[in-house]
Amino acid sequence: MSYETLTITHDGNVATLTLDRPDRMNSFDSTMRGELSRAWNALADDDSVWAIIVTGAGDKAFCTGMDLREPPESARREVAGEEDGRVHITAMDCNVGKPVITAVNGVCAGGGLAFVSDSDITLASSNAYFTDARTGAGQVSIHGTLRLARKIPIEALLRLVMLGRSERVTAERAYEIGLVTEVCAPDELMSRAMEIAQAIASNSPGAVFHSRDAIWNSLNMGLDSALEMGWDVVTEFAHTSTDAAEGARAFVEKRKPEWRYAPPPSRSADKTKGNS
Amino acid sequence: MSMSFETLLYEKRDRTALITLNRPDRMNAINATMSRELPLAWAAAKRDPNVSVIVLTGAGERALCTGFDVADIASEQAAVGEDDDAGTYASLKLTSIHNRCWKPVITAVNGMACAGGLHFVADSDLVIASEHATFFDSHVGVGLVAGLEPIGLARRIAVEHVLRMALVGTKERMSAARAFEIGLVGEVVAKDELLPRALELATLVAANSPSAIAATKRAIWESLDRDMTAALEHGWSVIAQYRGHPDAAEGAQAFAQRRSPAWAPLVLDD
Repeated sequence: MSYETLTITHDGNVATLTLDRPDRMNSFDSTMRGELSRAWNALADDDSVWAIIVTGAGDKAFCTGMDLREPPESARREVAGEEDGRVHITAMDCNVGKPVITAVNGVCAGGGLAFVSDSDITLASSNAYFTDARTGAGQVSIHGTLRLARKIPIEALLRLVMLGRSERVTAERAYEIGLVTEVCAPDELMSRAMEIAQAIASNSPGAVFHSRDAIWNSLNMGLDSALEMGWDVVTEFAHTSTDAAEGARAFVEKRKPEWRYAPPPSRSADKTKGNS
Repeated sequence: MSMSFETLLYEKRDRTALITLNRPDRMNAINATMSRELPLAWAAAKRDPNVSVIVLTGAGERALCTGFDVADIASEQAAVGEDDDAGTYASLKLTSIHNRCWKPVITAVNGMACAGGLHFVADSDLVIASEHATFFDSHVGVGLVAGLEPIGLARRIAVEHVLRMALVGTKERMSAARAFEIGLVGEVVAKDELLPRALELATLVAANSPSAIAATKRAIWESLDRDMTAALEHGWSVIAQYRGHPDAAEGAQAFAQRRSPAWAPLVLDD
């Protein structure tokens, strides 16, 4: 499948999705939004993909949100998948259900923050920074923002939203407040992201998908119900998957396990496909 | 316009309303008068279309606020609620959140923030602190349950910090530096720079669309009260409702014409 605004590469069970409009700071126009939704669905349905890295092309920007310079007649055209009035740019927007490692290679601004809010593991290059100028453009800051309210101290989020372009969260501060969990030299960012992605892909894909799903779903309920839900997920997977037996055998035999791919729960029991 | 109160100072500085808790000889502790006057001050800031941001601080250098005045509690003088809702949670009307004020609030912590004083930190948007500021919760040391402030704080910082503060009581005080490390405050400054910096931040916030900020603030705070799916559903409905707001068009036009936007004034009256 080919794309105008994205590049997708594969390395073993890891796919890398690169936002590829470096001359426009990798901002998303209507073309990119349509392509992202198509790409995420393809990656979700590809059994050989067990972990996905998201990054931006070039060394200046990761993504600066909506492309404000897209001509209105093009910006307003209908994008497939946006019939519900929402944009679907992140893996979570598209219900992918596979682990996503985000490598923030430069400025991440406005709607670009959604890639970080929806990321499982986030790394930043030391020259990266985070900012949100939406309220300064008369826009509400909600896409990406509400999930960030569960990820980082809310003071830091409210600073981003309310100070607008006057606030820049450096990679170092992002690390301190838990917005990212690793800061790398710019030329080491992608190799480090790949290392982490390959480490994840060496684990049982079904176990990884279900763990990830249980953790995010737990944010949707009270603690007692979340633990009940978690128990069901743990026991159900143990009863239905052969990976636990294979994992134990491989451990005893001191060899690499041979996992059996199982689709992410968000895809197999997918009632809200495409709705984040 | 400045309003006059017995226990508060209420001043206007450009588009900022500055509320100062003003009982410095009592560590700005909340007495019955202050708990009556605070809702009036928040209402004034809410309704004034020329107010875009509220800065809250305490008078003097020792404390932001040390909670409800123990002298009042000792004499059993009710510090909250004399109306129909007396004795209920709804009678607690200290902070912007209690008073449903969706304009941005910056709290400048000028000294101790203790016990009930932590409400102002928990319910603030931006929090900055003077280098000598401290954060602690004395409730359990005087035989009271720390049952409200920690709930608010637990949505702002990791829960261990909150438990530590609530259970250890006055024997340990969190420094401003530690508060910055854990993200409870966003900046620590020298004490002489505290108020100027808070007012400067207020000016920076006031440059953005007051309506977009209020809608965003409300969506964020209300999202904490919902499960994530419901919060996101609600968030998208806020985005949809906001699309026709004049500030959205004005923001785009000002950007294209390379000028400062002229935002619609915001009056909150619910």
